[in-house]
Amino acid sequence: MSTEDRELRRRLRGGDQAAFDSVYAEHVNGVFTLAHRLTANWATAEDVTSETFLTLWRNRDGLADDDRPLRAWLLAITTRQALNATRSRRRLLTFLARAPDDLTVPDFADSTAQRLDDAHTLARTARALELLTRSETEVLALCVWSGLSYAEAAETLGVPVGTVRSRLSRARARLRAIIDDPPDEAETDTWTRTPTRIPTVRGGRP
Amino acid sequence: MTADDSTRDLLELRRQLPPPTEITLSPEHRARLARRVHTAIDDHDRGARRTGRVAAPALLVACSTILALLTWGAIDDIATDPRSPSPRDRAVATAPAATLVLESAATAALAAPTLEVREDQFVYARSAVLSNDGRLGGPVRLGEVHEREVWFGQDTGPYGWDDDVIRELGQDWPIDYSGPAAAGVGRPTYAWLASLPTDPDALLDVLYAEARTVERQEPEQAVFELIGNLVNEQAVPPRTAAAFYRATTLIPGVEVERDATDALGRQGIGVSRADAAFRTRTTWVFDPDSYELMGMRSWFTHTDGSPDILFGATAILERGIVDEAGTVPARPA
Repeated sequence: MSTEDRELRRRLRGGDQAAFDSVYAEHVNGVFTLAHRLTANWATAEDVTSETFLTLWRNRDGLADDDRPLRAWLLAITTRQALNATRSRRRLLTFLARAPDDLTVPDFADSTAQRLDDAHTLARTARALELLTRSETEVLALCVWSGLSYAEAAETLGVPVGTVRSRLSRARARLRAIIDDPPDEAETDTWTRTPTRIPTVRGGRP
Repeated sequence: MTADDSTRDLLELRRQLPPPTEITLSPEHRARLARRVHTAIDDHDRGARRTGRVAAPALLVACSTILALLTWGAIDDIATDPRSPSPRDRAVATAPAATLVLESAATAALAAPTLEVREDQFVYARSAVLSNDGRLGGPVRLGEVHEREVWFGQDTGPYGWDDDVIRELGQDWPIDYSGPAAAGVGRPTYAWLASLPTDPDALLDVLYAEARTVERQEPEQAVFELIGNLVNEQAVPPRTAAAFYRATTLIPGVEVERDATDALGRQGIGVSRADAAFRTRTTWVFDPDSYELMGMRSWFTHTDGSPDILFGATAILERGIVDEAGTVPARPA
């Protein structure tokens, strides 16, 4: 596994198209899934996925000569691209409040019909993301949703492990302050008011 | 912090926001996305080669163009002929009633004093806020009016936002830009607002360049909303505020909403623009006597002609300049 990763990184650095294609084949589902969760929109998730793999290609020269799997790095890029794509969060919220049915319906017939996150979960997530800073969203995406260890997340984000811990702790505190929604009743309960004007004026720094 | 605490954080977050359901793209979809990625890569690689080859001549052309523009600008300044309008002059585009309200608002804004705001100070604003508590997809349910206070640092440096904070719902919410963020549309300091053109046309040029449209949103709507954000919870220099309102008269689709009320139910006169892409409408509510901005309100609109539904409103209660985030302006006893 590890020597394979090192070899894959070398081939990518050398501009090997087949190596790139194999990375795409292995990770496209994971990247798209995370992008969809973060953007709550099928088309935007496609944009983010495409941008993420383009970023990998553009930055292939900078890939370190080591044996770490590329997954963590790709998911970190996905998160950043998704955050850039949803800069105008209030718009997103308005959209979510308005047209939940549009969110989960891809614009083509997908032969492998499958369950996506339901509109409620996406709206819930969008509201939660509204409260978090970018760096807190990153650790949420990597540790909570993608199952990366603190050490892996720390290494990928270039921060100490303690920072990952404290970001998670802050994320939890922020969400707690506003979610009095017992998880078991998540499907039926309503969230308390969210300060939706936070990102209106200030949000969306590239 | 102990490892146990952080495990508890992780578990609780995972319970609140479970990991996404894994999406498995169909083979056709994977292939379609792959083609798109490859096209993007080809474009990028071609672009990189092209840049490398033509960079030097392009730079030369750019320099001479800038030089020409500078020269042209200088001559233009000297030989200004008031009878020949600049080519980008726009005609008034709002409905007559809306133009009247906006002109009155501009006049009122000009009568306000210019403030002296130091870089180490904060713009403070307190508002009453009414927001939608309803469930997703369900009917709008307006909650109780609550208060919101904001402090925006005026240091124009890249980290001048460091102490910016919003106080709402019983808690302070620090504003984090995740890195350097210069003063600008996203962080509009008083000094930056004062530096904007006060000619409505020139101002609109800046705003159209800065406003970000979301998905299929019209640029006109993006600019209307941007101006709304810039006048709402900020202290705006009088000449800039007047230019904002006059610039709004040049945006097509702006209409008067009579009998508009703010979040506290105070009666005013509204100026409104509908967002076709998102089927919403935003109204700025002005005091019918003084034409000062009283607040904002937001509506859902319908294509079938049924009445709009209010889903949020604000009322401005106080603005001021303070020395420290978290403190309020001195009030007369």
